[in-house]
Amino acid sequence: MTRKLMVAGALVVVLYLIGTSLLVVDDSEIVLVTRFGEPVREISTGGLALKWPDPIESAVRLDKRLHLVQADSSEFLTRDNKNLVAAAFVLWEISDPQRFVESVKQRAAAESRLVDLASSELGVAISQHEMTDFFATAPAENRIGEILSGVTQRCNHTAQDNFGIKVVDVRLRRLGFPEETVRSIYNRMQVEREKIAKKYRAEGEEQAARLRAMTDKEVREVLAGAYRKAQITKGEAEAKAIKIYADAFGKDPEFFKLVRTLDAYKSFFDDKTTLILSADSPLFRFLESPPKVAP
Amino acid sequence: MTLLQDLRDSARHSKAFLLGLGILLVCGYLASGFYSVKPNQRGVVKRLGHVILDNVKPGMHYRLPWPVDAIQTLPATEIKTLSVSFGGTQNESGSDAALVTGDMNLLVVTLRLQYLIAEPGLFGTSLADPIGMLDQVAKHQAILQLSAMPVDEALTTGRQRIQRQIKSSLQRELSRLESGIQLSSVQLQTLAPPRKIAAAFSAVNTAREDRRRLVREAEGDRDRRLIKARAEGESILQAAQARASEAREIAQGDAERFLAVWQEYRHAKEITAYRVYLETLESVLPRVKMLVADPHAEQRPDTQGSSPPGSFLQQTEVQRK
Repeated sequence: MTRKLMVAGALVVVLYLIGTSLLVVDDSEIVLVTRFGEPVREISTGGLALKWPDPIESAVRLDKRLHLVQADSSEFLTRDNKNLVAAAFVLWEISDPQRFVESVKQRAAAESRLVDLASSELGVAISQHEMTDFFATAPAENRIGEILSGVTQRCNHTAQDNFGIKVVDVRLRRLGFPEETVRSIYNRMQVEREKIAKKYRAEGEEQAARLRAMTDKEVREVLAGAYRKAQITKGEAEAKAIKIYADAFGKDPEFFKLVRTLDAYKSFFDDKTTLILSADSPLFRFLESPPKVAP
Repeated sequence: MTLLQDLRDSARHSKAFLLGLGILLVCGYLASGFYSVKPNQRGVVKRLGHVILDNVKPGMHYRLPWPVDAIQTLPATEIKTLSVSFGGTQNESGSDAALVTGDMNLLVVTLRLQYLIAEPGLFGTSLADPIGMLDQVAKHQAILQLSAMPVDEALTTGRQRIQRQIKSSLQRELSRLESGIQLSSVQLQTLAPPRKIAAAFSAVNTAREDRRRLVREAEGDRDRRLIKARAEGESILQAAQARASEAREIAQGDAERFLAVWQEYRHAKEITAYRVYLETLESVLPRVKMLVADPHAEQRPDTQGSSPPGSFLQQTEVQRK
């Protein structure tokens, strides 16, 4: 019986040894192996690993993935004394498990330290820059990216040294203004919009007036052009008519004068005309003395 | 010891049964390694914590049973949607969280991200909270884009550019962070002025419309007037041409008549001239009042007392025809 008990006991011991010296490490983990409480090595690749059984070596499992922690919004002052409300978020991962375990141990503690660190670095950075570094109308003038990479660098430096944490990014999840400023911005936007609306209307009126004036001018040009062509046409025709007349009448100017004068009489005498004729007029020649006809 | 005895007895009697049971258990254990991946899923197999297969396609598959291999299936081909919004609601600090544009105007923005898990092996392995990170990084990108653009541009021509830029830089970030996420689209679902001053913005739109309308009206007016002027000009020209050809024809007619008459006149000049003269007088004189004065009247005695002293000797009124 005792032999059997001994076998059973040995089995339990072996199982215990296997259980505590075999280590399944997940890809998302990093394992810190401590010997009698003192860190001796890190296992950062996933798979099966070996260590001395438990009382000798024990394993501390840490999450090696990238974590995100959000800082609350807070108010900052820029160098030109303007208020900004900003909130950062921090992407971080454990870079030095030993230091991490020694200094902060828990993720929650680490995160609250990181949040404080990032907020204060952000505050410092904002206080060294002017409002126009954050808001610019051309992408090239906007320096948010540059400012944040500076903040990231400084946070990373401190976090590496103190907590064994690598700060991958400090980014903004909010960048705005305090409530009073927002109210005045609303007012300003309102006024600006009204101005723009007025400008559009004025522009419309101006363009319309310009078009109308241009139309006036063109209409007059068209009519004047038509008049000019009409006059030229008429002039040419009259010239031709004069030439026709001259050619024809030039053959016998005396006869022309006669005919034309007689024609003129027809048109300028009417029933309101009173003619005073001399009795000597050849018209009355035969009135007083009958014609002498040659025999 | 009766219990042990009993066990030993029953084991001895049902050896075959126990053997069968044992084989069955082993088979069952081995069979637990079968798994299926559904059509919209991709599988990730971890052996003792280490990823050995990161993109198992849909269908039946086998892995080593627990505790050696573990399978995780992810809805990888499914396109998922995430909304990221700014403003519109009051945030924790009490002030409106609208986005600030480069010229310090406020805009309410909602981004609609569509993404899929392109690399299931990375998703959740390198990032603790990939979706939370997607949300935050998208916010950061939106802040960056908007803070470098004036409000008018953002609301009009910049919209496409904002979407494009956010998509490309967000994808770059996601790849850099090894999120395993692939963006399929980024849309600005909302990009509008805050409600409090929305009316002022729409008034600007109305004004812009008015500007267009005024110009369009002036253009319409211009077209109408130019057409009218051209028509008028054309009619002036036509009238002139009519007048011109008329003048030519009249001249031609007059000339030909003259020449025709002249041809005959040449043969009997004196007679014709006199005849023409008299004919004219015939047609003219009957219409007029005619006085015949004697140029020698002053040398003659007055023959008519009723006549005023003067040059008139006779007064003849020619009756009208």
